[in-house]
Formats: sequence, C-alpha cells, structure tokens
Amino acid sequence: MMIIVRITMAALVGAALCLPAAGVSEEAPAAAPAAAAETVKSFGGPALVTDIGQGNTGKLVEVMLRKSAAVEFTADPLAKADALAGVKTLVVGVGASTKGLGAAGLDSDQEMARGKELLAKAKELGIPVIGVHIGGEARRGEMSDSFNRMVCESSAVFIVWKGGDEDGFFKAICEEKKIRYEVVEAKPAAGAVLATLFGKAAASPAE
Amino acid sequence: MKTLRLIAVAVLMGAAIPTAYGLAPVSRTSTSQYGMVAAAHPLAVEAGLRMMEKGGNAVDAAAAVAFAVGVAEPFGSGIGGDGIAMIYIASENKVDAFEYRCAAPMAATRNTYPESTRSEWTKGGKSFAVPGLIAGTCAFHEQYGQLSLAEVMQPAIDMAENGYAVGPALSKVISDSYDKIAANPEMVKMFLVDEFPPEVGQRLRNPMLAKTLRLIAENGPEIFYGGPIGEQFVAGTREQGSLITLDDLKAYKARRTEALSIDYRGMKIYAPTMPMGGIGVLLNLNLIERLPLDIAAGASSPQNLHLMAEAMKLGSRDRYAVSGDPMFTKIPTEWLLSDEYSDQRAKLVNPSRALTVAEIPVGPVDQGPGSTTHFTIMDAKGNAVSITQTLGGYFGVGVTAPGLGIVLNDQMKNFSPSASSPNALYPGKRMNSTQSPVIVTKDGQSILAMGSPGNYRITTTVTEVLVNILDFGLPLQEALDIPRISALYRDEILEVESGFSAETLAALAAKGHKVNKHGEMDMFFGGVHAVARDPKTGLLTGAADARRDGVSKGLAEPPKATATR
Repeated sequence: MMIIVRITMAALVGAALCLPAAGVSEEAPAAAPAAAAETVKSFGGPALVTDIGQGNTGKLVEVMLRKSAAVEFTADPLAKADALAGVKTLVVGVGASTKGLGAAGLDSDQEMARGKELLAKAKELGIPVIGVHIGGEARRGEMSDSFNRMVCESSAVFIVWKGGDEDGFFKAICEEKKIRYEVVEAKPAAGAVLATLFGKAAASPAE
Repeated sequence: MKTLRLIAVAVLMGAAIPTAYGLAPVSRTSTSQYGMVAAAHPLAVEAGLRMMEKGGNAVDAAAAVAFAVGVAEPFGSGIGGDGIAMIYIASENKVDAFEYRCAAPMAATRNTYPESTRSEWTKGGKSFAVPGLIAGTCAFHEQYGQLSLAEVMQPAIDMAENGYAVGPALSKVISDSYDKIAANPEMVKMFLVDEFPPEVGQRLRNPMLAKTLRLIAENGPEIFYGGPIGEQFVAGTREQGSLITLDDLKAYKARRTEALSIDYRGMKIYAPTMPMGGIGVLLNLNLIERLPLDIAAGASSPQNLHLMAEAMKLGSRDRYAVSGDPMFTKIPTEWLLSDEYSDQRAKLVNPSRALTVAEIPVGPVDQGPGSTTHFTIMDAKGNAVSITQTLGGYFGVGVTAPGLGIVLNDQMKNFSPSASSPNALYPGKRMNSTQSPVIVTKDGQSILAMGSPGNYRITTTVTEVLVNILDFGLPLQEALDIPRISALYRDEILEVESGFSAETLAALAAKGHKVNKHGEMDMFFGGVHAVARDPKTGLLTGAADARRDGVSKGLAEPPKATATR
C-alpha cells in the first residue's frame, strides 16, 4: 500500500533532495498509485524540458507531459543556463546518441559542458531537477553513462525504465546520494509518475 | 585480452539468441547441407527458408527475403528504395548482377535542383528518387526463380498485415529517429506504439503496405511502374513537392550488368560495377594483396590494421574520383583494377606511418548514417545470392507515399554538388552508391557470399571481413565478430570499434593515425551477413552480425520439393 506524505512545497523540495523517497517504495509500480486521489503537488510549473545527450528522451518527456497536461511547460532539447529564468522545475531526459549529437552539431564534450552549466545554474537558482532515463540499454554504455551519472546525481527525483537499470547503475547512485528513485515497468508509465510529481492523478498507462 | 573478452561475448551472443522479442530461439551462426539464409531479422530469414522448403531455389529465397526484410527492418530498406543483387548460378559457374539503384526524375536538372538550395534536397518531395527495388527484385526473380511472385511475396504480406516483432536494432533506430517519425502521421501509425518508440518484443503492423504488396504480388511490378499504384504514388508525392512523374516510373528498368572481378589469393572475387561500390572493395583488396601482412600476428595486430587502413584510404580515394553512373560517364575500371595500377598504388603505402591528407588529395564524401541492409542465401546446389538494399538514411527523411505504406528513400542527396564530378546530377541518372555485395568462387564453385550495410563503411567492412576470412583464416562468425576499423582518404582519422587493446590503439596513434573510438559492436561499422560453402562437402555455414538483429538459419532437412534450376 502506498503511503503518500503531504509536505509543503518548500519542505518537499528540501526533502526530495535530502531524504529517501518518503512513503513511496523504491520499487514503485508501473502506474501511478491507484490511491492517487490524494496527490501531493511536489513540483511546480512552468517547467522546462530538455535533453542531455540528445538521445531523444527529452522528446518523449514532452509527449508524456503533453498527454497528461500535468504542468505548463516549454521544451528545448538544447536549452542553456539562461533559459531557466522563471522556471520552477527542470525536467531532463538523459541518454546519449551519437546520431543525435551529430544532428545537433555537437560533440560529447560540448554537450557535457552544456549539461553541466545548466544543472549548476538550476542548483544555484534552487530549481529542482527531475531526471528521466527511459532509453534502455541503447542509452547506456561508456558515453551515455557519463551523461547519465551527471543528471542522476543532480536530480531530486530520477525516473528510470527498468530495462535501462538492470545492473543497478542508477539505483546505486540514488541510494548513495539519497535521491528519490522511481523505476517503471513500461516506458509510458514514466508519464504517470511525472504527472503525480506535478500533482496530477494520471490515467493508467493502458488508457 | 579485451579483444578475447569481446570475442567471448560475441560467441555467447552468437549462440542462442534469447526469445526476448517473442520469437523462437535462433542463432547467429548455423550449418546446413540443404540451404542457408543470413539476414538482419529472424522473420526475413524464415521467409527465405520457407521458399526453399517449398522447392524454390536461392533466388526464390532471396526475393522473399528482399520483400520481407523491407517490412521487418523498415529503416534499412523497402520498396521505396533500391539495391543490388549478385547471383551465382552454379550450373553455369557464372555471376550475374542486377542493379536497381534509384534514378533521378527527368525533371531533376540544375535548374530544379540548384546548388544554392542543396539543403532542400534532403527535405520533403525533393529528397527521393525513383525507387528501383520492386523492379530489380522482380527482374532477378523472373530470370532465375522457380516459384511465383505471389508465393515469394506472401511472407512479407503476412508480416505487414499481421505484425512483426521489434528487435533491439529496430527499437533503437526508431528511438534515434523519433523526431523524423513523429513529424509524419503515417509513420506514427507504422512505427510508434501509443506515440512511443516500441520496446523490444512489441509488434508493429503496416496494413497499408500489406495492401500495396498484395496488389504487386497479384499484378506484377507494372502496377507500380505506370499502373494504378504508380498513379497514386505520383499524385501523393507530387503534393509533397516531388518531381517524379508517371513517365519516370514507366521508364525505370533494372539493369542486368556484368560483375567486376579480380583474382585474389587463388580465388575469384566478384563485386558489382558502378554506380555501386564494388570497385571500392576490389581496389582495397588489390592493394592488400601487395602489402606485407603478418598472418601469424593476427587480424587485430597494429601493423596489419595499419596496412589495411592505408589500403582503405588509397582505395577510397580512387573510388570517389571515378564513381558515377556508367550510362553517363566513362569509368576506367580495367585500368584501376589492373596489376600495373595496383603495383603503383601499393608503393605509396608506408609501413611505418599513416599517409597524411596532403599525400592523398581530398574529394567530397557523404558522412551519413549506416542505414541499408544486406542478406545472403545459398542453396544445396551451390547457387548463391548476395543482396544489399537501402533507403539511404534511416527511414529516408521521413517521407511516405501517402496511403501506400511506403517509406521513401532520400537518395537525391547522394549526387555530387560539383558539376564536373562523374557523380553530378543529370535527369534520369543513377547516383553512386557504396553498396557492395560480393561472391567468392574457387575452382569453379561458390565458397563465400557476403555484404554489409553502413554508408561508406560498406567497402571498408566488406574488405576487412574478407581479409579476416581469406587471409587470416578466421572462422566465419569470428571474422564478423572481431572489432573493426575504417579509414577514408579525406582525413587522417582512423575509426575504430571498441575491443582493441590499449597497446594496439597506442601503436596505431604512434604511426600517425588519429584514432576515433566508437562503441562495442557499433552499427557504425555495418552489419555483415555471410554464408560460406565447403566445396568438398557442400556444407553451408551461415553467420550474422550482432551489430544488427541478424541471424542465420539453415534447412534442417532436404526440402519437400527439389529446385530444378
């Protein structure tokens, strides 16, 4: 049974950064909890959705947020630090694609630098980060994991499709850094988790 | 040590592939006395085997695989694209080649495709050329097949209608191509599940394509090349800015050509002529034959890799200098493949250091993604079919022929921007290609057939795997599995796959190569599918590339009927 803790906005941000998932099992079920009638608005809008690694996860996050209408957001896969003005939550889809980087005219060093600067600015401004990795094994490996680690370590909540964390890479980081770890059985279910984080009771992934 | 670990991983991968995507376990490598198919998707392999079980020959199997793989691996090829078929007829000890490269529409001139708008060549209706796959596949099948067109097309129709399982490679490519797919409502229906890239094991369907394929099966290729499907194709694509007319479709014909060949270490290696990439492979091999490979040191020794890289650079320089449509440009093929020219070029190779760019003049090259697909079939009689087919980039540029389920090629970008190039754009001309399926014979019998996708890495990968087998004597699957390199004349970069030791990479860098490292089993280096034949026993061995969802499978028992050709 899921227990959902009601915490004020400011306290929740601090709690998410410092405490393990309060009242939410680390092995979160695929769908948002059915007992979501009493949801907590954990993160606010407007949100900025971006992609670090150019593996298209950011695009999928856009799809999920659009479908759930959980939060007002803008999207820019190449967002820089100055795009954070007025933003209340930064949602980062992470996972590297050499094709995506090439299409964006970036090499991995340039993308890493952009990501670092963006995350550092978010931290400076007190903007919480939700990290999302649903690319599976295709978005793991030496290059991807350098991006993956950076984003995961900077997140207040990290949502991962189980197929991309078979080796416990993300789980270990979250445990070490006390980051809320949300694993989903199916990729679209990440949308339900996101909706819940933004305080909306989302439909089950099957609908 | 790392190389050994990689080989061990590949061998384990080469054993049973798990049922992760809902299909019965199959293997990357297999043997059979009765018939063998190696291709990039298990369902495509099954399509080919079914034809041989019914009494069809290797060509019937090849035609079935050609249509089926276009359904099950839709980013790599399809009836919106083109290809090249090399066919070895055992009874005649002869290699026949069918070239069905895309062709520019007759309205494609320097006025309608001005150089100043070259970026527009890769968008919408201007991006694709007249597709040749239907014409080519039907042409070689009519020439050499035994079963009916309807029979060989049925597996593809079934897959498009009833669905096919998504493998790891397709799942990844759809993810990588998400923007392109999401921008086209027809492609969203064909390739996404609930607006998401499909996971491995999920099924995709393409009922529009099933209907199109069924009409072709019932009526022949003419229904596309001038008939009602062609009319619908033209009407739908002209709305997107295409210049292709019904007359362009009516005029399109597959070309039956003579294959190029060289003698290599006592064997004969056949590769396709222009505008395809066969000359690139043969140029490379002619050079390598003249270089002091140290066989005892192995295929992955730094010195052998260095020599192969230098051969690739020189070979590619010559290929790009002359590559074009032979109907429009004279190509000095005989001279380029002559002993005299090869001797001259081989002398340029320095065993101690990499040639610089200044030492190899630069020309234009397309650094595109490694799309395309390759499959190989051999039957019990020793007939062999080696086919590479493509759309160009993954899913082309995301343009479909409305209502027909066809993803279109993006081949117009493959013409050279230079008006003086042998590959310059002209109305009706076929752009050059690196596609290079090969067939190897010895003493009048087929012993090996193979090929690869992978953009310009096709010629380097095919070269490297051939050398692994023919020079270093590696077992077939191992020859595919060990890490690869690729080098091109235009810079000093040596593309290397993960798996070489740090010492090897350091030794290559010390010779002046600028090593650019890719991932393990990286699709950048293609996806080889090969079949070898023991001329003494007739035993067929298939091998497939772990870099794609490739598998090989042979007939377990003699077919129920016997092919008569």
